Amino acid sequence: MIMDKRNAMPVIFDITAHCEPSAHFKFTRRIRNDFDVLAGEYAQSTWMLGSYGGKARLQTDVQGIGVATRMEVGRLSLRQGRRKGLVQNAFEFFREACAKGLGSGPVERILMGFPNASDRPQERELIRQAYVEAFKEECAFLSREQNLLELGHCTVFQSVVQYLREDGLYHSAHRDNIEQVQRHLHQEVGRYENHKFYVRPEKADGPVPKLDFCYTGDRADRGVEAYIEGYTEVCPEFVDPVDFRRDRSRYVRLKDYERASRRFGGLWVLQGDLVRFLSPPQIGILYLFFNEDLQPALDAYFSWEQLRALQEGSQHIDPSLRYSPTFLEVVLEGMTRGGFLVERDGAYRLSPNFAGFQHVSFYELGEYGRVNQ
Amino acid sequence: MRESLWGRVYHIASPYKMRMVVSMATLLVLTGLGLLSPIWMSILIAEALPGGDRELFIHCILILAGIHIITSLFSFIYSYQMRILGGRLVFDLRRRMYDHLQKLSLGYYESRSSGEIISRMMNDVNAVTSLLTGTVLNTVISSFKALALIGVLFYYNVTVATVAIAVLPLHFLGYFFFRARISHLSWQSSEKMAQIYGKVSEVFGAIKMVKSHSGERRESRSLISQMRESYEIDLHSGNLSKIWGQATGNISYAGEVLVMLVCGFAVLGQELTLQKYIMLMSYVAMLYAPISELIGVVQQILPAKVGIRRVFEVLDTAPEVVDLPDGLRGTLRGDIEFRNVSFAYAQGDQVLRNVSFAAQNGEVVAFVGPSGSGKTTIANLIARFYDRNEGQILIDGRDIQEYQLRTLRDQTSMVLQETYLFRGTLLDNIRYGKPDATMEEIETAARQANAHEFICTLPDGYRSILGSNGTRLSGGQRQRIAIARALIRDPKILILDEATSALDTVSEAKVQEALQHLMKDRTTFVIAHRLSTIKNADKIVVLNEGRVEGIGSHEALFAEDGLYRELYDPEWAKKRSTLREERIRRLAEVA
Repeated sequence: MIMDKRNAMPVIFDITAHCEPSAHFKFTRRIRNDFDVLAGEYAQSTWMLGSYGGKARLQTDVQGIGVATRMEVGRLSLRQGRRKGLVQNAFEFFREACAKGLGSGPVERILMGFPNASDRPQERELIRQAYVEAFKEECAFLSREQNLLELGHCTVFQSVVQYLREDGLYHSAHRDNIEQVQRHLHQEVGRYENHKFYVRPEKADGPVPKLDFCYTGDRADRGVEAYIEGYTEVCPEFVDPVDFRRDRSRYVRLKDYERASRRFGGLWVLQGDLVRFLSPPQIGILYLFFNEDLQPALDAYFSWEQLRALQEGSQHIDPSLRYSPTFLEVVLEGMTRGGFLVERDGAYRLSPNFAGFQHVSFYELGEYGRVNQ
Repeated sequence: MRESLWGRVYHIASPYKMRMVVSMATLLVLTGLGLLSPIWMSILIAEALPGGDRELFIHCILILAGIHIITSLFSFIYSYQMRILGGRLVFDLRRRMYDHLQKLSLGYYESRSSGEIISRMMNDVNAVTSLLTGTVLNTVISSFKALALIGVLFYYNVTVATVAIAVLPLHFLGYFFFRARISHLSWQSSEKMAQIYGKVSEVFGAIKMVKSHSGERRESRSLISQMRESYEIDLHSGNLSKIWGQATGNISYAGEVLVMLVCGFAVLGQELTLQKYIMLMSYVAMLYAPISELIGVVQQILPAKVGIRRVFEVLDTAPEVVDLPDGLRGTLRGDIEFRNVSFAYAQGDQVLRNVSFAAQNGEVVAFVGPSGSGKTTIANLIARFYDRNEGQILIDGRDIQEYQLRTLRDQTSMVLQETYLFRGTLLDNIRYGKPDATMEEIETAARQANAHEFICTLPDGYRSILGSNGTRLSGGQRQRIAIARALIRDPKILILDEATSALDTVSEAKVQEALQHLMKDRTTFVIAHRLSTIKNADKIVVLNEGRVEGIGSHEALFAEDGLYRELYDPEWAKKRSTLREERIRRLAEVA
């Protein structure tokens, strides 16, 4: 049997769980001791076990008045075969430590560091499986650096091409209504606690999709509808819970629609199982590969000179950056590294998989928990 | 393509190439001199003393003394060069960082504590310098020394040389085992130190608030806890380094013992002379010294590498507001127009949505609205502390981004609610707005700001020193100094962001009077909650949650029965809100 040489080598994982900060958390001797006892229970023998290899350590980060704890299971050197179990073991340890109050709060985010993490789908798959078994929920990966992944959750909205053309189900024209309803719901939490609010976007004839506000709960409440209409001039429609569950995919949370319809602040893109972030200037460069009708030129290579000429005339690029070749070079280099572009002999084209890239929203673990409350 | 880390380090040190070459040459001479000593020592012990050769004995002593004197001389030259090199590198790097930090936009400073930035500028730069001055040269020289000694050993005796280098792989094993661990701890140590700096600077910056909330003990405990962690990290890192050092020493000692055995048996078997035995043993001892040095160097490189990365992190942070090299210059007229401007802070919610308004030269435009409606953000965009995301901001008909930042900011002044006065004389504080201002100009500005009177009552007048041991000024007086500072620049665009909101009525009246002078012949933007401050504005822009709700004069907006009236007629607002609540409640009941 031929073995993949890279998989045969042990991979060293550094796993870090950051807990939610708290101004009341005190890093007492009792917490240190309890943490060490728990870490001892979870520590397992690993290949090339070092002085703290595979054993958890607790650190704090003070930022202003808040103290955040950081649990590290560092230098976890794993050969193929045992990896999943040991990574899962680390996740379970984090869960139990937080449940016992040894951290400053619930897990806010988990970071996994290992060499070339962004290029190793097999390792990511085993981490995903370990996460699912430890926390009983799915996870997604955000590529923060080449060697560092963040675990979180992502919600898929539409294709990146749809986002760039703004012809999907998410349109910024609805933002005002969405924000108004959201604000009102936040102000009057108690009044609507028995109901959940969604929107139902549907394709319409024009460029702007149709958007219906809906709510679901045990039963319809005309009072809720009247209050919301009175304060926001939006009248939500009741959706029977059975119908809602059956057609769940048609309904979008207000928070998700708000995020998906943003035309500012950058773009989260899902490439396979990996989420990457594109900043607004990078998005501007993507438009250079689209024609006037906003159709992506998927097969065409663009020379440096062509891109420079397009950059200077592009309305999607900030005026202060339109004439900067350095900016173009840095962004092209970064986007090629990130798998958005392909370079050949100094010419660039969109990645062959570009049409399959998805516009998503990435939620850190803690944020996701709060959004879903 | 971006240079590698070491490529960039080389780039930093490249202006001092010659000095480094001289230092390296000095070190090479020192190494060569070091290789001579064992030869003459072995002749002294094995030939001159047993043979009773008085002449050879004195000869050897003189040569050894000569080697020592020349070594001392070259050592001095070497350390002198290093001191210069180190000092200049620290200077260059700090200057480069400081210049770069000044270019970064407000967003950078708002997301980091000042202590953290200071830690990077001071501690991490030191780490980079120590790497370049000590570590790099030591690495080169130690490697050269080790190779030279191996060569010498092979020249004299192949067996001894083979035995001597047989233990070297153990050193590599140690390197792989300890490297990542120490590197990780170095990073943690730097981070922790930066956090401690941040905490200390934050607490001292807010010392009044801390004391007024009896927070001293809490803050003290928090800092002690951080310092304890820092101590533990350093202890752990130190222990690991020490263990590594001890392991290196033991491996070297094992090598020496092996060579001693091999050579000893060779001397007993009369295959080796005593002189050669002494010489070879000296060389073997010398061989392990540079290897230990190399290990030590690696231990220094690891934290230094962390420092380099942290320094480059700052240098690589691109300014969010980019200045065009060939941007427009010249005097502004002061006509400003916002066309459908939208703005969101990085990763945050949208603060401004399609904001449009226009202000002509000489006009006073007031922004009103509830907290969080985007008033200060507009001011920040006018001063170009941030760039808008969408829409256009035009100054005299040209996009704001077409102007050079310096041109724009030279002709813009801001007076904020919180006045910052530098430690120094009142004179210097007013002159900060225009460093080349004459005394006459300063006095005129102070008179227009209604500050001259109170300044004259101070014992040292304009030369009174502000600060902890100097003169203490009231809020109104500080504000008037800030107005004088703004006035002396004769700005075309003036932004008053809650400039009088913290003042009492008497102080406000004086400041308002001063502001009337300030508003003449320039475009003035006023952000305020008090009706008295904005009532007389030529144009009032009412903002709500980032949108413009209305534009007009006080009378016109008041008559509209909208948000503006809600803000300044609480009775009416309360009545309207009650009626609305009532109507909705009734509707809900009916439903």
